[in-house]
Amino acid sequence: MIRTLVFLDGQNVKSALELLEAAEQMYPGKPQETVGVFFGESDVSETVFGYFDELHWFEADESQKFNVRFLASCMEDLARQKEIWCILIPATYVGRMLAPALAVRLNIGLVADVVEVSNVEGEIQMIRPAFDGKLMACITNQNSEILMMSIRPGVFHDPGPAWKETRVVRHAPEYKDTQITLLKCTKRKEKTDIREAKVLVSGGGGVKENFQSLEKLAKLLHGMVSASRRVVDEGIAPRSIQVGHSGKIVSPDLCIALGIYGSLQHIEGLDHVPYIISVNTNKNAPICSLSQIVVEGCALEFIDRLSERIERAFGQKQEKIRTYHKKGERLCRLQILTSIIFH
Amino acid sequence: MKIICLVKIIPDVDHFTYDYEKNILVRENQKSLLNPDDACAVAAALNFKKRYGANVTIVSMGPVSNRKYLEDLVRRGADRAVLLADTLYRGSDTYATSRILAKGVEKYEFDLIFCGARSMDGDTSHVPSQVAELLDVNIMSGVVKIREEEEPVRMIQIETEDDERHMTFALRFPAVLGITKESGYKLPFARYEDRKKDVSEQIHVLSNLHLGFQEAETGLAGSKTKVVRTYPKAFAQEKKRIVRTDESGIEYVYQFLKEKGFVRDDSNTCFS
Repeated sequence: MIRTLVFLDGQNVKSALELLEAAEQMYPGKPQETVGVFFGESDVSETVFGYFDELHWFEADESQKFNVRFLASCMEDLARQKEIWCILIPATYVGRMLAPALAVRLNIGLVADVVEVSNVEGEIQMIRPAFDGKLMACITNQNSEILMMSIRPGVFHDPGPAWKETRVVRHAPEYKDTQITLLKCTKRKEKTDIREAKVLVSGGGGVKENFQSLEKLAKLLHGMVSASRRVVDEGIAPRSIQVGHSGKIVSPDLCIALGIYGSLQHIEGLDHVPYIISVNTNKNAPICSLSQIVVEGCALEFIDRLSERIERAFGQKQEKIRTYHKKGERLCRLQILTSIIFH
Repeated sequence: MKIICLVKIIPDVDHFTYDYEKNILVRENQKSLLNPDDACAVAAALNFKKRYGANVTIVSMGPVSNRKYLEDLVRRGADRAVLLADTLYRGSDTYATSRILAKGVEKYEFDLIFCGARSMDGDTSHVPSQVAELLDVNIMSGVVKIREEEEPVRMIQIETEDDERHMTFALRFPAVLGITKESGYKLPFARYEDRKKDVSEQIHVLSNLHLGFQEAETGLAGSKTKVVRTYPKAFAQEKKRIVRTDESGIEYVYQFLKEKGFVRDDSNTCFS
């Protein structure tokens, strides 16, 4: 039986479900057993109930959740005990520190930040970006009994409906205390400099009638609003958010250019941006030559419709989770009780 | 206090060339540079030297030709630099590299190990955690600030960041700290009179004669992963697509954003 161990990062437990799609793609159509593992003070199994055959909950306080060597030791025992084939870890802050420590403990290879997997005549190939994203590398495992990788969040998708009868097992491990102490954790302050933004929603002459509407889309995409010289010169947007030769050279991962013609001086500021989506009534505007997607049409209409689409998806996701909760709740409680008694 | 800095000399990722016919990366005549995160790590260590007289040792794995980069770091203030160089080590993956580095580090005393959180070329972030595990010491990565108001004794306070949170930790010695370039630590310049100073006595080159690995434990043979092929990303990219603001157009844009990870669920939590 193919057994896969999946780490559920307490920061975003549900994102671990995406990793199940990677497991499915590696061994298509074959029966698989999935074992999830999470660490924390509270039980989060309800969130993912039905997706795993077994869920292992290791009790850990807030500090201990960041002691990746402790997490790795718990997972090592579990991997050996369950004869795991494959270990999948989301490439999150904790996941990226945990995976290498666990790989050393198990004496196995590890591939980081995988964005694609495939099974070529029984051999699993893992694709990952390298060289600052300029090259893609295809990597295989060698001299390792277990296949292990960290997977970039957001690349794979949530699996379909949950139907497994999840068994929850609770562990109370002992640990050497105070090696690492979390003294403070706060939500990161919003950055206000557009040069630090990962996502920019940039507006030009085509959106000047309702420039404020850009904020809405920027918020949904966790990005910032920037502007072309034209709207800045007209006093609609402040100089501090101007992109281009006379403004700021920016390096976001994504830029959505709304109603921007794309004069040479503006385009120079966008030279290193990997993904550009431009929305313009003129599909031959210079900005469109830099874009992966050109949307021909009214930029203000685009903002409304795309925002609506994103909000709808969030709504659906919440609804889906609520439904599973109700279904799994009783069974889950019962099984936790039995496993506490018998372990 | 004794600090070891792990550094890597990497090819300049902004100016590399790709041979599309042979499908290989052209490394000849290419510029190399000190990995930016590692430069911050050395800068942080030199801060401690300046404030509290910490002893700073640089450790790096790479070809003998990297010696000049290590000499530069000594001229900037490091006490010595150790280059782990052997043709046997060529082609090592992160697992084999971490074992070599850990064995090199073991030859010296240390309280703390500073290294870059990620390297710009490979970008796996494996080495800090793997070295910590091999040396049986604490590890924290994503470091944006090391508290240096007071001389740390047996415990060090650091601040780290991920996409959503800013965190402060106390770590017991010994520990590995993975420092990011967001820390903003800047390498000092060498003093004018030191620019061409002979530092050869402070550079130690250790080969496998000193580290004593079996041939099968290092390089390609000692690696647990194998790169089957590489290709420039341009091949993987889709062609330009023109859509409209109708339903199918919006759906196309939405799926694109989702696939690239720009649409995130907003329900993350953080305690404070």
